[in-house]
Amino acid sequence: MTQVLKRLATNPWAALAFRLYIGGVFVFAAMYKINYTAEFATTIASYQIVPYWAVNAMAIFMPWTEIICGALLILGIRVRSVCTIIIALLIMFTVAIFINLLRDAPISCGCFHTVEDPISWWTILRDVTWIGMTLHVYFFDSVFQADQLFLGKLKRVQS
Amino acid sequence: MSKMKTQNDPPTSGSENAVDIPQSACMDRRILHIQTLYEATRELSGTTTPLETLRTFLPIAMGPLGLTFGFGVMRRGLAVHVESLGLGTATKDQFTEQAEALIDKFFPHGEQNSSISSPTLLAGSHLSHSADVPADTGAIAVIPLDKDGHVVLGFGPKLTGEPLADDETDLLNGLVITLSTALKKACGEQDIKARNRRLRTALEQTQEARVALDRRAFQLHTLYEATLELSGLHEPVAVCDAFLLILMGTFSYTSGWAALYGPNDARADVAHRGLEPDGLDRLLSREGRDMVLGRFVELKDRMPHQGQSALIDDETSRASLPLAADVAIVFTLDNDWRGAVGLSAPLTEGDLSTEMEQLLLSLVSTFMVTLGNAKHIQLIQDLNSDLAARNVDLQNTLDALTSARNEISLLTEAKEAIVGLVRGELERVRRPAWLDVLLIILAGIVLGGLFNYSSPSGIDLVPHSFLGTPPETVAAEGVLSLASEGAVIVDARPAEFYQQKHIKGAISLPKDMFGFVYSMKLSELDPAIPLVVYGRNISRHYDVDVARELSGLGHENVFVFEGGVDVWEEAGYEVNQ
Repeated sequence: MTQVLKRLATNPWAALAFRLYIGGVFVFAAMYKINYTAEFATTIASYQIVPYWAVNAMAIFMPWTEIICGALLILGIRVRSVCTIIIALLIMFTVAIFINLLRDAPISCGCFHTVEDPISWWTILRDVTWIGMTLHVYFFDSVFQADQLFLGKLKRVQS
Repeated sequence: MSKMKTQNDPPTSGSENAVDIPQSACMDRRILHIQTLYEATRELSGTTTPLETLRTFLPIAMGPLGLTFGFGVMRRGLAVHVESLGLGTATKDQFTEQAEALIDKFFPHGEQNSSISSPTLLAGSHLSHSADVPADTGAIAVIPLDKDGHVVLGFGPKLTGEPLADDETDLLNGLVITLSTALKKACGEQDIKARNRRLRTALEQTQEARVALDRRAFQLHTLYEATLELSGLHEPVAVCDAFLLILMGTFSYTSGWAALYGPNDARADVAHRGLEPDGLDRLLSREGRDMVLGRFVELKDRMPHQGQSALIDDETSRASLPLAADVAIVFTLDNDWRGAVGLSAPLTEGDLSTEMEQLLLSLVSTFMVTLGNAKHIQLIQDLNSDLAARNVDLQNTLDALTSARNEISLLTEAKEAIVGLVRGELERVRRPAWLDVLLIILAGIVLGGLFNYSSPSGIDLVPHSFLGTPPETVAAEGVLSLASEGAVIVDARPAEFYQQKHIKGAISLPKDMFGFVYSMKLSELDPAIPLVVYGRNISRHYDVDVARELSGLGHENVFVFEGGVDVWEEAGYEVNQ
């Protein structure tokens, strides 16, 4: 049983599913933020964590970083580096939500849209779940990685 | 020895008889004896051979003494000659058989030094009883000539039966001495003649040998000159031409040719000198080649083997050669190369002598050796040329191989680099790389900046509240004072924060809904009435933004209370929650 669970837990196909899911989430979330930069800047500011002089810059650059990471994750390029960035972003989001939950700030998550339900512990749980999926991808993803497929072909040149 | 003693016998009765002979008669006898000696000397001096001398001596000695017979035995070397006069046939034959024994008795055969060294006469009646001489022999004379020549003479009794008187013995002794001298002279002359003959013969032989040596020297010199001249040549055609000149000069011919044919029709080396203008063409033609090589077929078993030559002595065969040849030789250089040499139009008549034929064959042998060397040199040159060409090809191949090896090395290095790169990339793909992270963030910054710059809904990179001139600020007490003067307190934060907690009496004017709320609540307000704006956090300076908006709309006294609701509450003033 333990072996079965372990096998399931380390299944690369599950990692592939997680990878596609997380990648899709980031691409989807970034598309809105890119189109509504001002609103996203307000959302960032509502967390009251980022200095006011850096809010706009963060609202401009972060969605593009997210969409690039999502796309690379879907394609399977530099998966571990991308996972590192995504995990860092998710941790940052989770910490920000956690802080504002402690502040009892009446703000929405702003993850996908400006008008959303206020942040809650479910939001924390969701982000933690996404972190877990990303970690699974980090450690167990090995199929349909574009760069490995390409480099694997080159590696056969050696033999 | 008894006979030698006989020589010393006392005078016989003969001397006694002399006393009785008158003086004149004695003188006459002396004269007669002297004349006899003279005649003997004269007669014997005319003889030329010892045998003739002996034969002449017997009647000369017997006549004046009146002897009944006489004989002489002469031995020269192994030859024994017997001469006799007055002996009967039977006695002569018997004596002839034992003549050699008689000589051996005085001169034993094989003894080099005989005791008799001078002519000796033995006389006496005792000699008549000796078995070695005929009966009645009264005197014996022995004469040594030389180490191989001896003579023994014997004389019979006088016709009168009387013994020899002393003067007669002296006469006989003188005659024997004369004979000895004549015999030695004859022997000497005979020896000289024999030596002369031998010398003449030796001289003739020497002359013949000298002539032979001269011929041999000429042949050797010719061979030497030919070898010397041919050895400096390395071209087969040049060798043939030079050899032809040598042959023509040596054997006095005015025309000649030499041809050497190889294994196939295209290979032939020929030389020709003479009157026939088309000689070379005929030698080089197929017919000429077949005519020469046909001689080898004709010779069959006599065909010269490798390195040998043969003289064609058949005139019909010589006529079958491509060019005229009074003398022709065919030769075989090796299994592939055969040829022939022909000479014609001699300056002197007659065939070649055997020696000249041998010289010709020797010269041909030298010619074949030189020709073989020339062929070998030509083969070596061909091989060297081929080797040089192969060396060039080999060098080209080596260059190509070297280039290919360098190319392979470069490709190998490139492969190693690519493999190392791939391996590194594979390793890098498996682990997070700060470079990748940095590149992704950088790409996000670049793309975000470009998109925001080009998008109509783009925002300022840095908020206005950070760059513009800060509005006038007031403290909590100032706010309270202004409020007592009728100032309006404005909460610039989002409505959610306003609803959560705000200063008592403040109105909500969020930045995001400024136009709408302002038109509803403050558009009718006197611009001179002071406005105190508050509301900021770490991420937004709402108060500054709204204060600028209000100033822009014409309000003259707009103040910013930086402390906000928290400071207000901490100061103990009233808030609404």
